[in-house]
Amino acid sequence: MKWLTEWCLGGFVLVVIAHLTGSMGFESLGYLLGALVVLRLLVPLRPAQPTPGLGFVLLALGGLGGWFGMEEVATPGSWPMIFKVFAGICLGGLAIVIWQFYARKPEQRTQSLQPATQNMLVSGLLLLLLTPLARSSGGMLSAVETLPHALWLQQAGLILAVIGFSLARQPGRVMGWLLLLLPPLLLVPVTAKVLLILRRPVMLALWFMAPNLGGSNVGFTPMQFLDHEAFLKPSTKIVMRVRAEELPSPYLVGNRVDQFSAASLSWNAVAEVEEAVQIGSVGDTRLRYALPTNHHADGAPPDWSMEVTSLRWDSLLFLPPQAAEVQIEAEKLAANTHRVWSAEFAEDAAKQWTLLPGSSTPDDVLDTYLQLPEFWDERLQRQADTYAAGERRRVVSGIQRDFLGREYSLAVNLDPRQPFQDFYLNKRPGYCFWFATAGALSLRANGIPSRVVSGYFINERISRDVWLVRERDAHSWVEWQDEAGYWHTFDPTPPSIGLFQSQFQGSTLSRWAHLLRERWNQVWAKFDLSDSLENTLIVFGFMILILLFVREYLRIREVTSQTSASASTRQWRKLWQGFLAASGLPDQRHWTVERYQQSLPEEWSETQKIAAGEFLSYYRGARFSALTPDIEEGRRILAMVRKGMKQAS
Amino acid sequence: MLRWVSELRLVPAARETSRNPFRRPLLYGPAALLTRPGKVLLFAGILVLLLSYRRNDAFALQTAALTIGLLGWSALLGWVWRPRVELQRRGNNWAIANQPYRAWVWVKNCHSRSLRNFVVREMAVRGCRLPVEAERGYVDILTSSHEIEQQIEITPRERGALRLDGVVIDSYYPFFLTRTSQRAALEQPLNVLPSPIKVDLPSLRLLSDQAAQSVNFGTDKGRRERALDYVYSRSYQAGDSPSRLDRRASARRGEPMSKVYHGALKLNPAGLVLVVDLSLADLPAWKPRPDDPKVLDNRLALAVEVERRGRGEGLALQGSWWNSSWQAAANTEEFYGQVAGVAASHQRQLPGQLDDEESIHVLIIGRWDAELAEWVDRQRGQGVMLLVLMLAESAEQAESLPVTAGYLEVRP
Repeated sequence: MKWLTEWCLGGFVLVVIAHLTGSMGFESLGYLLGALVVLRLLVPLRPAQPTPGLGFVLLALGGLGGWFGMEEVATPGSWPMIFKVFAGICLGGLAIVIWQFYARKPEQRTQSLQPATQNMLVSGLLLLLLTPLARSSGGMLSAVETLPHALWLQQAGLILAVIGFSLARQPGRVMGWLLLLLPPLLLVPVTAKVLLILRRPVMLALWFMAPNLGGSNVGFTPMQFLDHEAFLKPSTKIVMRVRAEELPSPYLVGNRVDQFSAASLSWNAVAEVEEAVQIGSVGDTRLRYALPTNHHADGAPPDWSMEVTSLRWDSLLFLPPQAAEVQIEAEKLAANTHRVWSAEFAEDAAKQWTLLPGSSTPDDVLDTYLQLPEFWDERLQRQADTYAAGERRRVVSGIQRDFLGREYSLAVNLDPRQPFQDFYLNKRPGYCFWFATAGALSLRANGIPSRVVSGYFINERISRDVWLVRERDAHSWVEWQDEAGYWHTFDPTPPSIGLFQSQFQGSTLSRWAHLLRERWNQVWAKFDLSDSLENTLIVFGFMILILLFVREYLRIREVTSQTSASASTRQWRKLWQGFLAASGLPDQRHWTVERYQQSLPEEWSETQKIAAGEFLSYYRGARFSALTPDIEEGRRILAMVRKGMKQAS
Repeated sequence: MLRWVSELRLVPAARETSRNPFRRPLLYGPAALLTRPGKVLLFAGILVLLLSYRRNDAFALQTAALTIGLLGWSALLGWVWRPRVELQRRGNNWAIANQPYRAWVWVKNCHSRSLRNFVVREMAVRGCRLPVEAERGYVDILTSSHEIEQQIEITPRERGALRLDGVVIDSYYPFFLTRTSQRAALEQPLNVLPSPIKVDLPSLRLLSDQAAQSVNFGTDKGRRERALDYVYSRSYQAGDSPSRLDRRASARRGEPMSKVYHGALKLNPAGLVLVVDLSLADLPAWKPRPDDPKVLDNRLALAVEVERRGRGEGLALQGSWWNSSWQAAANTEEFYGQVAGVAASHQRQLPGQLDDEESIHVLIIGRWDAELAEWVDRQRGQGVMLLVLMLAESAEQAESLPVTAGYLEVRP
């Protein structure tokens, strides 16, 4: 039974090795580690137990090794190429599993749950179940199938773990116990069907229960086109950090849309895809791109600069309207058909860019900037005419004055048949989309070219030169063109928007954390490490970790050798355990030898009782004797006990 | 006020037997149904199930099915073979803080099926630590109608009057992935004594003999007349016994004179009386309990040590003084119950008059001052044998006790 348990646990470790190395594409490493496991099964080597600290060092070594070296050894397209650190940690975990297998003691029938075996099983099961299955070729990125044997291997590992863990403690009918494992195996197809039915409700329940941690494009996020329901899920999630001595404008432009769809109540733009022109570089990595700008300076300081750090999941760029130059670690910078700028960041580059002013040129007047929707009728035009004035700037002021007293609210209750008319003529409450739309169309009705812009409004200052931008700051406003062809920013949304934004305050702790992060980035940017110095530091870090590992291991060995029992004690313990194993008597540590003598089972034959009695008498007399007892005598009696027991069975 | 509120203990003690989920720790609720490998299997099974949601064949639904099916099957079999036993507990009702308390449990399998792969343990109690799972008494099989006696243990963390709720049988059958438990409410009060202190305490009888030779007992010592030495005569003072009148000196001086005696021979004490000062210097009135309970615990550990030493010298404990009331101690266990239950007081509360002249009185204190000196002198003036033992509660208090017989500063 004991050998079966050992081989089952060894088989489990072999399966974990085969699964992980097969999945990662490191077959030769798998053979090497497998040979190590077989060696342990054949030769009883037993190093000291791994401690949590040493385990951590191994995982850290694996993670660092994965980060810096996985690309060199991993198969192109396999998952370790993408999840380098995770793959390294998995290899570190595999080393821990093998070490735990070496260090564990054999399973004892008299002990419930041996901690070393438990730890090994926990680490092994996590590696076995939570790493991807092996694939035929090409890895995760290609459309390839999972190898059929990988699934069988995983399930076999699971069963081996259960057998190895429990079999040694099953008294009596082993076959009967093994048969108990059959039903869950046979019922796998049925259970899979049931889980398939349950999976969707479970996913939905989890989806609704999970807090909105961000990372997706739902929420209060400006989209590439502007829909009337785009801003209805505000959150406090931080999307950008802005650093500037003085802001040229509180607005960060995401897109500029000029075509209004009456049917879907949304703004779109259909423009040519445009690439920014590269005009040079800053340092080794940052490139300079020129942006076409035709926005009026509008009181911006003459020599401003702005550093933006994006925390968004995408690669979109948000720029102040006056920006004419971007410095960024990106290989390409382009505006798509919705006039949204996005960057192809270099590998490992931070999502940061610096913005600078430049010269501005007047823009052409396009027909689309004056286009009014089909529903624009006389009533609407009469309302728009109330803003008429000679100069364009005065028209804008008139609209702003009119909208100033309006109510801002996310909970709009407009007539579903004519929502815009209801908002515009009946002065209903609304949010920035409605005010921006009304403002832009009013300008067009007065012959002033205009377009709607969406992006962020910067208003949370956490330090002299640092601002935070949250999703609740997403906003839309209007740009209008003056007589000379320059564009100006005009925000028709009433100031009561501030009351709404104040409902979504972030925590002070997160503000401090972001400020610290920004300051750290500032300091770190001053260091320019060369490749050779960086490599030296990495090697130095590895050496420290390895030294720590060796030192701690030696220390543990020393402590273990000090606390372990003497050779004589070990011999006596082995003798006693041999007796318990042979006789099947329970291991009751508090029982005296006399108690054992009294508790010999009645169903035993006389031969068995005599043999066991003789051993117990010998043990009582010799174990703690002042004289040096002959342990060989004990071994001889134990052999007799074994023989007697075998005959009886 | 904020600190006072923060010192209040309003949370009710969570017990393993509680049915209310808010008063029962999660650790002994649903989480207790799975062992560590079982928990990992459940976690991994659910994760694989969720990861296989979209057409992602790197994580297969069959693996999740096998994992969750295995756990479900294990739970079902565990329930069928669940423990149905009769239990009885045998053990002391006192324990020492931070030392394992051991008791015996008699287990009889009352069911027709054998009970397999089980451990016996105490129920979890707040303030106590159970041994790790691998060190609990394990039995692989107990056949039907058979019985066995198992030792169980639990380690209380600090002094106090606790209550052990009962005993639990955890069965791991069949796969050691799930636990099926039977809980038996075998309540037992447990008086937890403070952790012992290492002190070299001299014999109490020897201490009292030394004190008797040097202590001035005044004039009211009629019953010990022959055991005392005459020292001198002084003018009569109100309260002096008439039997102590020195007639010769009175006639000579023309005014009433009283004889003054000094102890000279051995006393023959019959018992021991403990007076423990439970006040702490650093315990303002608004604080319900001291920040560091160790100071008082050490003083109480000294009281336990004195009682034990007295018992060894044939001095039975006659009574003890805790927090303004006398407690008679019929036996040692009762005394231990008193030690476990007392709390620190904000002000010193000592008895007005000690009146048991046949016993040695031992006063255990943490600090010495003029008020206490006056109280001790008054008691001795009344002919009471009073020894003062001090375990300084702070470094400033060390070595403040008079260096003379009858006073002893204990340094652990």
